[in-house]
Parts: sequence; structure tokens; C-alpha cells
Amino acid sequence: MRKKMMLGALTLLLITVGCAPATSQTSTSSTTNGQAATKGETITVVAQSGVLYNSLNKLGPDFEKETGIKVNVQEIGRDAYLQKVSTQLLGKDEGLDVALVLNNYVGQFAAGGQFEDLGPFMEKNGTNLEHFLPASVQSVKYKEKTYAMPLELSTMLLIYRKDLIPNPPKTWEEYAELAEKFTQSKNPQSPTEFGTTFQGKRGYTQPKEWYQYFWAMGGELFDKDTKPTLNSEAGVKALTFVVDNFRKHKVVPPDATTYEFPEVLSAFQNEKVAMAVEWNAAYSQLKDQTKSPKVFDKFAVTQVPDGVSFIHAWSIAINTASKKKEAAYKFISWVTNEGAKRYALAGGVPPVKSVLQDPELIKERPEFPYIEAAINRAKLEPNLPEWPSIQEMITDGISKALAGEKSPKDALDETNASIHKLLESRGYYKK
Amino acid sequence: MIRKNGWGYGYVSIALIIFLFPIFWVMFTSIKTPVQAFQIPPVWMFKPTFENYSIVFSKQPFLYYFLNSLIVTVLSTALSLFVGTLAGYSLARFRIRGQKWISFAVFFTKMFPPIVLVVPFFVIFRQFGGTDNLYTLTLAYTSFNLPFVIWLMWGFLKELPESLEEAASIDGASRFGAMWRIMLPLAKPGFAVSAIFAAMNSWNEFLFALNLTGTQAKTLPVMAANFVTQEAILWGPVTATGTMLMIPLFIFTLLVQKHLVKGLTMGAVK
Repeated sequence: MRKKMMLGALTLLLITVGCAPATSQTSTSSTTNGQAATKGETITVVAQSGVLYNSLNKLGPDFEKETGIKVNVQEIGRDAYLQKVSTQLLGKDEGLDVALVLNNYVGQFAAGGQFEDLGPFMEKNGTNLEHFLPASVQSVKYKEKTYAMPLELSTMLLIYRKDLIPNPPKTWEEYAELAEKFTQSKNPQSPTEFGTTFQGKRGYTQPKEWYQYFWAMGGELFDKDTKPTLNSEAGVKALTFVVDNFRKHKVVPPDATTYEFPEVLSAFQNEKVAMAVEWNAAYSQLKDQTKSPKVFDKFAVTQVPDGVSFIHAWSIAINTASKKKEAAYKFISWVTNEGAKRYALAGGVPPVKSVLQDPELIKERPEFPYIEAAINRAKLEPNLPEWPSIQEMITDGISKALAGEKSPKDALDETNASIHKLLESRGYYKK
Repeated sequence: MIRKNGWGYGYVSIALIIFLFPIFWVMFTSIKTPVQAFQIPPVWMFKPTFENYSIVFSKQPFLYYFLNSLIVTVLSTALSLFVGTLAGYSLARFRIRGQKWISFAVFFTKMFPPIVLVVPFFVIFRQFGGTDNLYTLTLAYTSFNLPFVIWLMWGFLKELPESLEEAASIDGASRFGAMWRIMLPLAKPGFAVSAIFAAMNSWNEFLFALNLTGTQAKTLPVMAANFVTQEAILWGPVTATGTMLMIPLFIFTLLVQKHLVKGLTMGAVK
């Protein structure tokens, strides 16, 4: 018996000894090549799985052909992404050269010294930001300095069933009427169970959908002194609108507080809802017959009711701890400029005017004109280093109101007060 | 004293259904097409497809990450069993000053939520030896498994009568020999439990694998998370990976279980 066990242990040991050096060899080979100049260097980019990873990974070989710099793109799943990137940036990981974050994190990492100021690189290379859509340029600046390049633009569109709704709603009032019409509990003839839905899951998407109601009804997040104004009349009206759709009129599925992009998409794909406010990324999923067999030929998109869209941009920046900043800069400037068209062909949405208007691309990506139109009146979240905490407070308020724990007014009063307190403690209102 | 009891079967099957159903559902979903996976009411009769499995193999270097997981699990389990057993034995047999504090300190490390340790671990490993290699991950896992192994082996070895060892040394065995030949075989159930838990912890661990690895030393749980993409959760590949992730531990537990049960009942009733 004992002999057998020893034998087993020994074979295990042999296997591991046999395997270990093999893997360590591959890991050293990729880090040791090239010290001189940027040619032959390998830069490491970390990207969220999905369209960002897929398109950057596809562009890597093209970039290498043009510049001789190799790109190693690391893929991280959606839920784990921010955790991982923050650890690497805050831990000053030299192994990470280029990081992708949403524009509202640029302020935080710029103020904390994790992102390199791109000014000197732009001057040296004679690049400017004129080819980008103006709103996206604003999104990557912190205290008038550029810390990132806008890479991938996201906005929300109204997706609706064109077989049921010939004229999409132009205002939130029309939207509410249509939502009732296509909810079975209100109208037994309705082919869909619910009229619409809401991305109600606590987190960063939920406030982003809400802003579009809020802004359209006349709300603003801050006044000119950066004092929060969420509990304005417009704020209460916008939150009451959303909460009533969910709690009172029940035109939204009862589990909408667990919905984010994928859940809303799946509700629409399965003909559970007749319309939804959804990220533009849904378009390519919906028109794909294998992914959306029930609705691929029955859907259409348009601007959100009242037309004040939310936009954000995944922005690409250089880690200050990187040892290969020149090569890293070449990559981020190439992929958002010369490579932008190829990036779009690979599935992305670059905030580059000439690409969004390119007729050849519009044939491939019919949603581009809607995205460009949405941007005209679109708004962004401000680039405050405190934004992640503020966002947390806003989603907390919305969630409490959706859960019925607090009235929309009380919830927003509380949120507004906590934001004010936070910014005051950071010295925002000192004279 | 074994009687047939209809109720007994009932209770057992209720318990089994409750904890096996989610696992069954994962396997069941992994052989459905995306459309079937979300049909309501669920489809029970369909032609199984292995398309999800082929997606996993074509989109990700599954075997490479599988090997990473295996190496890290085997190494960290072996290392923590070796070090932990010796430490447990020492605590049980030798008079060590401040033993009370040592036992507390061993437990203390398990009182944090692991996420608190992520950034410190990352900074430490970045400075010594670097991240994204299997040795780093092995060391990290060993440090999580050790307290558990020490505590468990200590408990088991303490309960064994010292006279057995004395008898062995009268017959000429060294201290180490007595421990190796007499005590360890008797503490086999403790050893088996430690092995299963250490292997389980290491095999399924996600948080540290995520933060301490990049592309080279990535393990399977982190790979599985890559199917949660920006646009959609690819449930098919996620469940297919989950199913394949379960198999090795399942086999390992089956192999070790024999020792576990035998040891637990042995000598229970005199």
C-alpha cells in the first residue's frame, strides 16, 4: 500500500518537474526580446474581453508590420476587469504598458499619477486631437491635460420592434404610452409581456441609463461651482418616471433590478419586451441571425426619446510605471488614428469623424449614422477623481428608490447630500 | 443494525437534488445551443451539441491553462501538506514556547477577507520574483492552504497516543521514522481531508489567480471568466469550461475518499 502511494507521489513529482520548466521558458522568452529603440519591443496591453480585446488583438499584427513593435494583448473578463487593472496600476506593475479604462476613470488615475501625461509625446510626434469628435476629446482631459486617447465610443440607442411600433417614440411621454400599450397586464392583446425595460442592476450602467431621462427633463449633475444638483425638480421627475414604470405601472419586468446590458439584450431577443434603451453594441448582436433568431429582421434603432444621449469612451492610456513608453505611445496614437478604420472593421466604434462617416464602413455598420447623430446632443460624466465614489452614491440612491425603500425625492436628497459632503471634504468649495 | 427505511431515501434524495441540481444544470446547459439555453420553459429533450466545447478549445488555449492549473494545484498542495504536517506534528509533540500565540497566529491569517491581501501580495511579488509565473501563484496558494493544514494535522496528531511513538523508538525508530511510519498512516484521514481542501482551494481559486497572472500563468477559472464579455455572457462556453473544470477534482476526491472514510470510522468504537 505504502509503496503504491510513494510511487504515485513520485510520478506526480516527475510530471510536475517535467512540466514546470517548459512553461517558465515560454514566459521568459516573451519578456527578454529587444532592448534598443522601440523596434522589436513587445508592449503589453490589457483589454476587456469582447469587442475591445477582439479588435485590438486583430490589429496587433498590422501594427507590428508597420512599426516592428509587437503587441501582447491580455484578455480579462468583464466582471473582473476593473479590479485587475486597478491592482496593476496601483501596484506600479512595470509589465503593463497600456491600459484601457472608461473615460470617467481617467481623472482618478491621472490625479493619482498612474497615467502618463501625453502632452510631451504629442508635441514630439506632432499629433493633435482634431480628428476626434469634440465630446470624446473632452472626456480624456483632466485639468486641461490629455492623459489618454479615446478609443471606443459607446452610447445608448432606443431599440424597438419595428413590426409592432411603426413610429418610435420621440419623447419620454410617448415612450411611456407605448410601454403601457405593449404590456400584457395593461393590454391583454399585447404580443410582448412587457412594454420596455430598464438596466436596473446596481452598478455603473444603471445611472448611465437614468441620466438620459434626467438630462432630457432639464436636469444637470452639477452647477457651475461643482455643487451637485441631482435632487432638482428635474431629478425627482426623472427618477419618479423610472420608478413608476417599474413599481406602479409595471411596464418593466419585475426582475429588472438584476438587468444590465446582457439581460436587457436577452429580454429583447426573446420577445419579452417591445423596446429598450440599450448600448449601441447591441446592434451587431441583434442583426446576427444566429444570435437573435427571433428578432434579427424585426428590430430597428433610433435615438433615445428626447434625444439627449449618454456617451462614454473607453480610453487608452500609458502606465507611468511602464519602461516602454515610446512604443506604448506609438501604439495608442496609431490605433486611434491611422488604425481607426481597421479598428472599426474589426468591430469597434472609434470616435473618429472620418471613420463614422465613411460610406464603405456604413455599409458594414448601418448603426454608425445613428451613433453620430446621438453624439450631437450627448453629454458625459465629469472627469472628477472622486467619480467612482460619486457613481456609487448615485446608484445607491436609484437602487433604494427602485426597491421602494425610499421615495425618489428622499433618495436623491440623500445622494445629493453625500456627494456634497464628499466634495466638500476634498476641498472643492473653499473660497 | 442496518434497516431499510423509505424515509431515509426520501431525505437523502431531497438533499442530493438541492445540491446537485445547479451542477447538473451547468452540465446540461453546456450541451445546448445558445437558443435552447434560454428557452422558457426549459427544453428537456434535444439533440446534444458539443459546439460550446469546440468554441472553448478554439477561442482559448485550454490545454495550456489546464496544465497551469494542474501544476499550481499539485505543487501547492504537496508543499502545504509537507510543511503543514511537519509544523502540525511539532506543535502536537514538542513543547514550544508561546504555543498559544502561534496557534492563534495561524488562525489569524484566515480572518481577513482575501481581497484585503490582493494589493499587498501583488506589490510583494512584483518586487521578488515577479508576477505572471507559476511559482508565484504556487507560493501564494501555499500560504493560504498552510494555516488550514497545520490546524487540521495538529488536531489529528494530538489525538494519537504518544505511547505508540515511544513503542516505535524502543524498537529503534528515529523520531522522524516514528512519525513517518507510525503516526502519519494513523493520521491518514486528516491527511486526506487536508489534501482535498488544499487541492480544492488551489484549483478553484480565482481572485489571486486573476491579479497575479497575465497571459503566461493564467489558470482555468480566470480563463472561464473571459467568456463574460463586454457585450454578452457566453453561457455556452462558460458552462462547458465549468464542466471540464469539475472533472479533475471529481476524480481526485474519488481516489482520496477511500482513505477518508476508512480512517474516520477506524477505531471509533472499541
